[in-house]
Amino acid sequence: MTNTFRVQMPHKTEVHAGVLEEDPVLDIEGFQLWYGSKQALFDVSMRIPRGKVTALIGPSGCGKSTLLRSVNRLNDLVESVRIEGNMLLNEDAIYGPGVDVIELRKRIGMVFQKPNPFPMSIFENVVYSLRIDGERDRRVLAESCERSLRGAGLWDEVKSRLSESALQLSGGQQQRLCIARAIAAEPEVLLLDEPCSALDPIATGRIEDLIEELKGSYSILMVTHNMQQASRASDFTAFMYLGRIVEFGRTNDMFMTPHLGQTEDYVTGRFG
Amino acid sequence: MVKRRRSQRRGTSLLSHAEPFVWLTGGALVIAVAMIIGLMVLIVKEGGSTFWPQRVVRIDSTDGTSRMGEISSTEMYVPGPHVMAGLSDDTARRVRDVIAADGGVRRRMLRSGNFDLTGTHYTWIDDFAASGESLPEWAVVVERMSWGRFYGFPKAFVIENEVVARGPEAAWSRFKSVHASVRARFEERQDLETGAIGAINAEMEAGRLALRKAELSSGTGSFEYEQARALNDEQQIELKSRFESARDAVRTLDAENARYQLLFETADGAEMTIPAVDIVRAYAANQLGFVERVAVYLSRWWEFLSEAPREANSEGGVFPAIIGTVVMTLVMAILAVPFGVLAALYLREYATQGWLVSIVRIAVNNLAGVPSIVFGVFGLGFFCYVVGASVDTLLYAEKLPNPTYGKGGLIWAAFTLGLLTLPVVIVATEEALAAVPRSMREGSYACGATKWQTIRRIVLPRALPGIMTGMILAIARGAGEVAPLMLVGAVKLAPELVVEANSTAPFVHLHPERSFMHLGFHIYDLGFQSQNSEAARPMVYTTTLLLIAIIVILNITAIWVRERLKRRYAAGAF
Repeated sequence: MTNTFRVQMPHKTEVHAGVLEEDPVLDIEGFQLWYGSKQALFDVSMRIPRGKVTALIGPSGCGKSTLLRSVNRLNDLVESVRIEGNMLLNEDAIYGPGVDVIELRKRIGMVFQKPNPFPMSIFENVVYSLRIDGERDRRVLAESCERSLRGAGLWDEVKSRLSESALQLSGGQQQRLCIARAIAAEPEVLLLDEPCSALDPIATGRIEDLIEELKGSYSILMVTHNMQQASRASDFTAFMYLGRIVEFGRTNDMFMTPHLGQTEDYVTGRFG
Repeated sequence: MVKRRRSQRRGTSLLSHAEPFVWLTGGALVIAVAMIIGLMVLIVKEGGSTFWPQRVVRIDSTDGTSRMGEISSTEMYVPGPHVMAGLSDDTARRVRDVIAADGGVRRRMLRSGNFDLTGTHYTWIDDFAASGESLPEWAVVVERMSWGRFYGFPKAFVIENEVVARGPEAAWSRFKSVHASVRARFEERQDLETGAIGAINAEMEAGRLALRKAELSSGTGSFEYEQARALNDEQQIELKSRFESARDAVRTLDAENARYQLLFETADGAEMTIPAVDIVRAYAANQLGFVERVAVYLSRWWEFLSEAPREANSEGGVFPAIIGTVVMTLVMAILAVPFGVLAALYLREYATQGWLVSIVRIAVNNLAGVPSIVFGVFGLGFFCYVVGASVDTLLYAEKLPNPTYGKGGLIWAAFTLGLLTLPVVIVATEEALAAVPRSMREGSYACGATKWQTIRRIVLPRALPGIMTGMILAIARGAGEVAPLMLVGAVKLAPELVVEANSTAPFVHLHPERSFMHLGFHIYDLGFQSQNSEAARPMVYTTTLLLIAIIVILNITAIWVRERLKRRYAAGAF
């Protein structure tokens, strides 16, 4: 089955009509990426709409996380990575000579698969990005901490123990703390890398509600393995396979009336 | 059916069972634990009982002599032919009978003291040569400033060559009534000598050095030199008068103390006069109740912990050695730990992992296997004779040819041991850094942190407990090391401490150039360099006990700090 599938691989992304009308926050143009001699991303082009939730779906190893980690250049930390093409964040080049990677990352928030709170207090976790910017004013920090924790729906649970270690929180709370940490820097785009894959169903539900609330104020690019999650939480969905974006469109269209047979096979669970 | 059963039996052979290996591994652990516990029990028992006051036994011999003292050991032996030849026929027959029955005759070692009268500290007494023994009521143990212990009966108390009290009871009570004040005067005199007179000497030396400095910089005939000399002469006159008055004060105290003497009679009937000031501690051993013996025991421990050594280190205390050990270990940790952590940070976080880094890592690990005496030789050759000598020519030229830093000293010992323990710190820190999860670093980078911010705020705090483990290992290794110290600064007897309290800020002054006493070296010195080796042996155990206790205390402190840090960064339930 896999073999026949590969034969049908299209070389051009099937983009639904409505997507191009959206105002893009992130514009990916002909992006290719190699790990050593192995190519992981092939000519990826897509425009991530502003203020919307875009889900990246696709089978394991298809390059979803690689694409996500290319946006904030975390792949730079991996040796022997080579890229071609470019990405534009609000019309500023992400790759290219003279780009300050540190400053760039401050404009992009990221939440990882497994919650990764830092070994410090809840308060210090949330204001981490302000701290590394040299912010010392206690009032500014406290304000940002409360706003971010409220934004991540965690304020009521932790407001009385902000000075305790973040590592004492439950897994779901830790993940919401990581979201709070990401939005504290007021990023232009928020990257979520399977944010619920390590959580139980209740915690997953809360994160999904949170994503719903964040929509509008933040542009979100989210990788997920979970079809239901993609259909519930996102406005747009891109289906990736073997390093290519196969089809990209409104979530409803992608799940109800996909243009391509592969996409239909994947979203209906016949392939995955 | 039969076949199946056979195959089952083959399948559960002895080797495939877990039990033999449980016994093997468990047995190895038990042997290791038993050896450690055995060592600890031996040290605690021997070291802890050193200061316990024993009864004083008087043993009369068949040849008419008497010895008195504390029994320090007992053994069975077979006398050689020349001993047997010296015995009377009757005794020889008795000895042979005992040997035939018990396999040997018993002899006891008596700590008989009175070295100035008999020339020995200890005497072996054969049971067959003893005609009787008793615990005399008025047997008194005297710990003296010199000549070791004295055992005898108080006979009279003498003030200015006049007998003022006769008989043991009267003499003893008179002695006790004045002893505390005599010792207080003695302490005062010692303080004057080391404090006031020491300060005057230091000032005289400073004046001489200032003159020498002027001579070195301007030449003998110059105006500056003449000025310095005039100033120095003036100072010397003033200092000399102060010196005289201080010495007069010492003389007055000495003269007052010299009036009091205690006259003793030994078990043999010889008479002995001991000045009261020479008596550190004296007690009538056979009259002591349990509480009084505990008091003597504790007072000896206190002396051991708080006083300087006497009698070639076999008596008195080890206070300078405690200070030396602790200060040297702390200075070593302060030097080695930051260096090791920085080196490990570069190796693990910044260096490109390749063959060069692998070679460096192997070299660091091999450094841990180099015999410590090699570090000692290096420390002496490089730190003392190259670095120290350079410091002397640059900063202390006026003191030459007397070296200031160009000899063994605390700072060079700490440097040498720091070098010795550096690999331990580096390896432990590298492991701790490697154990910091990648996800945490990535989370920090994703927030826009630089590499250094990530290291400082995320990696180092998270790795701190592991780094502390490295520090604990380094302290344990460094505090117990002796061989290199013998070359780079540990001495048998240090007249001055490496830290001194001061009346001016910062109140505690460290003298990094001074040589120091060290408990490990003290053990070696007591065990192998002492003239009174029998008396020194129990002190070896006691000093060992103390050294182990100090290392344990240093480690427990570090472990406590580590656990606190761990709890701060403890992973929650997930």
